[in-house]
Amino acid sequence: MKFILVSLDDDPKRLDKYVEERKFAMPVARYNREQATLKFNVHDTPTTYYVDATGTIQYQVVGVEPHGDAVDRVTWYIEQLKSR
Amino acid sequence: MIGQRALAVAVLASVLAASVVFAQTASSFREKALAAEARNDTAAALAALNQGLKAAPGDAGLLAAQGQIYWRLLRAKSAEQTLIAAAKTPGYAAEAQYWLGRIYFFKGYQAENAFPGWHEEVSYRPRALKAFTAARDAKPAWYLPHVGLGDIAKAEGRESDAQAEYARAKELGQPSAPAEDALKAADAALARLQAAESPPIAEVRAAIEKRVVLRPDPLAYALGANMLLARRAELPYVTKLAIDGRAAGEQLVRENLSSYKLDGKVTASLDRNQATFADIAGWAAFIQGDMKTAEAKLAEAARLSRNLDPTNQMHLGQFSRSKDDLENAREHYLTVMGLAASVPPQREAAKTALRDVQAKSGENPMEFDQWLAATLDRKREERRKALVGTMAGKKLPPLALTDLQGNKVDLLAERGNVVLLNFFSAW
Repeated sequence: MKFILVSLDDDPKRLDKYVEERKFAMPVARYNREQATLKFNVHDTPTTYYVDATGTIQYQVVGVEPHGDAVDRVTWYIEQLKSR
Repeated sequence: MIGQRALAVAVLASVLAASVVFAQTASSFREKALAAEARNDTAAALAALNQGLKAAPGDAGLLAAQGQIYWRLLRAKSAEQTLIAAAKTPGYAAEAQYWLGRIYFFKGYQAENAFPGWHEEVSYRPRALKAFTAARDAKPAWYLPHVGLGDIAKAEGRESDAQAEYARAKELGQPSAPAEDALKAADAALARLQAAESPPIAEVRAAIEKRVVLRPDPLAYALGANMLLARRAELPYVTKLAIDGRAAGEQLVRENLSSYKLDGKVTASLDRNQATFADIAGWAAFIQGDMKTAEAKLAEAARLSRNLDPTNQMHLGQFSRSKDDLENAREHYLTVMGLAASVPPQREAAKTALRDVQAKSGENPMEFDQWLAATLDRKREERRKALVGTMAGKKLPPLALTDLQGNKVDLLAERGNVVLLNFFSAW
């Protein structure tokens, strides 16, 4: 299981501050917005892809978690992928 | 020879006379416009400038005044174009550069939360500095560029630089910008009235009117409308605020498009704006007993907010309950309970309302808590299944990046692993 965070920020300082505050345990890389839109169909942030072991995207989730059940939901997606 | 010379002189004289008339016309329109602007009569100010620009197209004095007014109306794009044109004429360069500086200062330092989802754009910071500096160099004895430079220093935490600039500005005139002061005072007046127990409604209305005239930003309209809705007062005026606020918000989003790099954000901002004011209009109609308008407007807000706005869902719950439509009322209150954005008092109100709805539906009050927990769980499960997006079923495109620590991140190399790939922005 691998978590990859990709920032689409224009401002590296803002990103540095955010990463410093959040202390992510997973890799954080930068990428550009235009390419993300073109290649990955990302029209809004955050966008999350849940990808199975064959490299197939199983779920695309767009937007912040409006229902406050983020942890439960992420866990559920991962369980689904692992059981495949 | 003499005849030719006389003719040349006569032609020159008439050209000079014409240009003097031209300049006089332009400056009289400018004065008329600035006088109207000083008494907050925006329509008259803009009309005078349009008239002037018809008589003297491209006149820098008229353009500089127009840019200043456009900016006060938060029409950044129009203001910027106009001011850049005006700045080319030396006599108005200082004025035009100062107002350009104000626009860039806003974008670079003040845009955070000026509208939901908005953020400061750091690329504008050097531009603000450049514009205020150009204004100061073009007219060293003018106080306002020093105020601008002081504001930048203050925003960057260079307190002693800021105080030095303000002191210089004070020597030359005054230590702060009148337009910014007026806005701060209007905001403070609204905040005071909002905190007050039961302020006179006439005073509240006057404070709202003053604030939205000074700077028509959508949040001010929404704040004012909600203050009056909470007191169930001045409802026809609330309806007007909803109409004007929506227009102000759309204009703000369109004229500040550089705040959005992704097309999804522009659409989301326009939808959010329209949803906010549709809900305000709908709730004002409901309080006034106009059920038809209430139903249409509250439903419009729900569609645009994708049922994610707790305030709107509470309103829809109450609307449904007033029609004894218990089924829909139940759904809306359950949505409020499930939304992360709901504040605790909203949750409590929704729970109380649900208890009532369940009792009216003939359910056993003893089983309420159990029913609520089970229902919220079931809803959560349904949402999981609904949120599967458009790239599902496709292969993940290859992408090789380097992370902030300098390590390779290669999506192709992750085949065989389950991957959670999250695109985010730090705002």
